[in-house]
Formats: sequence, C-alpha cells, structure tokens
Amino acid sequence: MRNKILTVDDSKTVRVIVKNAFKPYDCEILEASNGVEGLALAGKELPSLILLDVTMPVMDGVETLTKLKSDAQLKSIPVLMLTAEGGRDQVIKIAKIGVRDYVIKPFKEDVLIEKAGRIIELKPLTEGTVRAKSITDPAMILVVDDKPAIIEQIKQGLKHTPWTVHGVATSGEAIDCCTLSPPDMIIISLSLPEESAFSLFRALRSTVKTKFTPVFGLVVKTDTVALQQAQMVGYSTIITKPIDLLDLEARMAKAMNLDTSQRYFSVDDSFLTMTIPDNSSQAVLTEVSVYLKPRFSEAVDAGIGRAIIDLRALKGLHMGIIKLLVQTMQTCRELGMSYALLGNVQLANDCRGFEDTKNWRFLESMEEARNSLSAGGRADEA
Amino acid sequence: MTVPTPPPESQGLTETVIRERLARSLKDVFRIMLRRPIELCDNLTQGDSVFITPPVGAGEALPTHIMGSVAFTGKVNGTLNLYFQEDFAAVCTRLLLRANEDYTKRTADTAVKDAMGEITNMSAGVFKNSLAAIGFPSRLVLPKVFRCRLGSMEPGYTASRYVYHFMSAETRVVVELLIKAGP
Repeated sequence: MRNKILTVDDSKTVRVIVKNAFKPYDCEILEASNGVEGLALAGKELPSLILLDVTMPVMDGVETLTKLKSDAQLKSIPVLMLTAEGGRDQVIKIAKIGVRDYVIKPFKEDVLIEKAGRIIELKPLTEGTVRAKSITDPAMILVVDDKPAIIEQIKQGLKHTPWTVHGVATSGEAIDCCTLSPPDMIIISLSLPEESAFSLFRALRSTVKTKFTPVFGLVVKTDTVALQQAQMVGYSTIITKPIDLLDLEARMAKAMNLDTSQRYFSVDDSFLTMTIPDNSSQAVLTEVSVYLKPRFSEAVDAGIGRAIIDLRALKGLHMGIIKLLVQTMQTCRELGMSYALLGNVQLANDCRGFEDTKNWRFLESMEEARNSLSAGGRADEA
Repeated sequence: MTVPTPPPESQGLTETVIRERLARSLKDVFRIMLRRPIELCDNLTQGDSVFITPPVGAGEALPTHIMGSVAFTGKVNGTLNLYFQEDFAAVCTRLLLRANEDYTKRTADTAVKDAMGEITNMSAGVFKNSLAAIGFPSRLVLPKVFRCRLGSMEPGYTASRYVYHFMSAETRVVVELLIKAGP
C-alpha cells in the first residue's frame, strides 16, 4: 500500500519543501496547517508518518502530539518532529510524550528523507508511476574497485551505451559519490581491502537513496567464500572475472529495469521492423519474446499493419529461433498484420531441414521486403 | 513601581556573543535552505538611527521592504526582525521553494510573505536555541510579516537593540534584534 505522510505545519513554504523532498518517492503527502486540522486528517486518512511542527496557531505541536498519543486509533502512528524549536529542554519534553525522531529547522531535505526512511519504507518511483527508463536513456554507473584496469575495462566495454561509468577506488569515495548524486546502479569489487565491500553494501542498503539501487558484486570465479558471502548479504547479482561484457550489459539493463525493446523493434515508413541480433542467446530470445505482443499490438494501434522480420545477422537456425518465429507469425495472424522474412542463404538452407520451416521464404533486402509487403499479402512462404 | 529590566550584558549576553550567534543563524539558514551565502558586513551601535536602505534623493520613492518578525519568550525575551528588499524577498522565496519566477508572480504576495516568515522563524530558532545552550532557554512565538517602506529605524525601545547589516548576492539584509533578559 502506498505510504501516506501527513505534514502539519502552519507554513505553506515548509509544506511545499516537504512535498518537493518526497516527490521522488512513491508516497502521498497530506497537508494540515495546524494541530486541529492535523488530528482530523490523521483520523480520516491514518497516515504512515506524521511530520509535526511545534509553533502553530489554533493548536500547537505539543498539544497535538499529546492528543495523538492519547487516541487509541492514532497513537501508533509514528511522529517525526520538524521544527525550529531545538532547545534541549524542549526536545526532552517532546521526546517524553513520544516521537520517533526530531529534525530541527533549517533542515536539509536529504536528512529529512533519511530519517523518514528509517521509520517507513520509502520506495523510489518506478515503472508504472513514471515512464520506464529505456536502454537509450543515460544512466550513471558507479564502479568501486581498487584496480584501475578493471574500471577501465568496464568503461571500454560499455562505451557504446549511453551510460556513464564513474570509477572510485574506496568505499569512502563511493559513499561520497552516492550522497552527492545517487547512481542508477553500482558494481563493487568483493576483493576490496578489509571486507569493505560488505560494509559498503550494508551502508548503501541503510540509506534511502540507495536502498533499492541494484548492486553487483565483482569477484574471481575461484573466490567462492566471497561469492557466497555476497549472495548471503543480498547483492543483486555476482559477476565473475574475467568479465563477459555482453552478459554484464544485459544483466545491468535487466537490473535497472530498462526497456530494451528498442534494440529489437523499430518503426519507420509504416513498417514495424523486428531485428534478431547475431548473438541470439536464449536470454535475447526470451527478451524479444516478452516484448513481441505489446510492440506488435502498439504498431497496429498506431495504424501500422506491416511487419518485417529481419534475421540477416543470424549465422544459423536453431529451435529457439524457430519457436520465436512461429510465435511471431502467429501474433501477426492474430493481429491481422502482413509480414515478410528477411534472411540469408544459410538460413534458407537450414529451413529445408525442418518440417515446419521448409516452406519459409526469405527475402534478401529491406527494399525487396517493403515492395513485397506493399504489393500486398504475406511474404513468408514459397 | 516598575523594576528596570537588567541589561543582557550583565547576564553574560555580550554584544560579541549576540553578534556571533546571530551571524551563525543567518549563515546556516541561507546555506541550508537557500543554498546561498550571506555575510555580516558591519554592525551599528545601539542608539543610532539606522538606515535600512541607502538614502534616496529628493522625490525618489523608498524601496518597499518585507519585514519578518519573530519573538521568543523565556529566560530571555526578544524579537528578531529581518528586513528584505521586496525584489530580493521574491528571489529568496524562489530559492527556498526551487520555484521559477512565474510561481512568485502567480502566488503574488502570499508565497513571499510566508517564505519570509519561515526564514525569520528559522533564523530566530537557531539563534534562540544557541542561547538555550548557554543557559537562556526560550520558546518561539508565531512569525509576523509586514510590508513596509521605511528609510530608517529610530531607537526608543525598552530592550537592548542591536542592528546588523548582512550582504547576500550584493543585496543588503538588515537584521534588528531587540533583547532583554527576563522574566
């Protein structure tokens, strides 16, 4: 259930600052300008957290807190004081009534979020609440490794992506970096001195800003102790050295929940093109298969009724590809789309060896496929 | 018969103590909430007439100021008044709310007045909390905000009065503190 946070402050300015501070998180902010309004709203909405000012008209924060704590229905709602009243005696007096934490104005938004995040679970806004990030969007990747050569290898391996790789050598630098600007994902060498890879991981998970950031561990295959320890503390994934950069990129895209469909699907000149890359591993085929129906349906909704299935990069046919193609053709039929297969001599030869594929016909150029589809009809069978 | 209030100096609240704590308060509030520095540039002696704005020529209108005022009561009583030039108050409001110019235009006076009240409230809070730490606890009173067009502030208060000029982004902010030990 989405968290509701009630801010009770007579200053609209403070309420706006609070609202802005929580904007990146999946929560609803409720506002009240004094204690009476605050109690009424708390009773109606039963928020997960109350941020309470002290000096307010009508009913001040101390009286509001006292009433909250004597109400059976409301007394369990955690209260975080957000006030300029920071004198020791005053803080002690309020703490005795029962508050979970105390933030003294002026306050940094980060501090407020951190303290709130220790009381309730604050999840960053993700898919569904905002547009999903795509594989073509920039992302910031933090690599923590005391070996500059590894950082360089990852930088080089990902330089064709829109991602920025920032390398640091120590956990201290990593924390500074995350505080300044939280990355989209983090890769940590498990061989950092003094087991700091594990203390760093725990620090990242106890901070709201990086609580849900994917963290990969990097380790040599033979270091099974570190590998097991990393799995136990909760690393998202473990990457073993030597690094398979293609695999790393695919895992990173998945961990960051990126929409990778643009790798395989494109629309131009009234044609939907589905392209299968040469490295058509099972992971790739599964990924294509997941996007297949939604992308074809979107194309039909947009008035595009012709599809080109481009297989020219493939060096051979195997059952995984055949299954995907059968699924694709079935989808086209269901949606009433015409389609053409683009391939090469090798694929045509391979197709003759299977009962289901022996009649498949491949065109060799995009122009040919477009002309064939423009002339009408399906262009897959001889 | 009225018993005269002892001057705060006699209780250890010297001008230096007050100046340093007041400067720290303003600096903290500006740095944390507005992400902008502010510096104490000079202080004026008690009893002087103090110009809030530089003198203007004959026939020229005095610039409008927004004055935030917050009192605190307890073992020490006082009022902190901050005077912002109107344009600068709008700039501070936008910085505080991370809003654009449209926002302050759209919300007219309301947003600026509320923001100036809050900046004054936070400044007074930091200041009076620092006095509480040296044995002078007090509580804040609700802020008041006024629009004024003053050329000078005249002495004549029963409490001790300190006036300081601060500069932020080449704009003067006048800070007036009235204070007396009590009750």
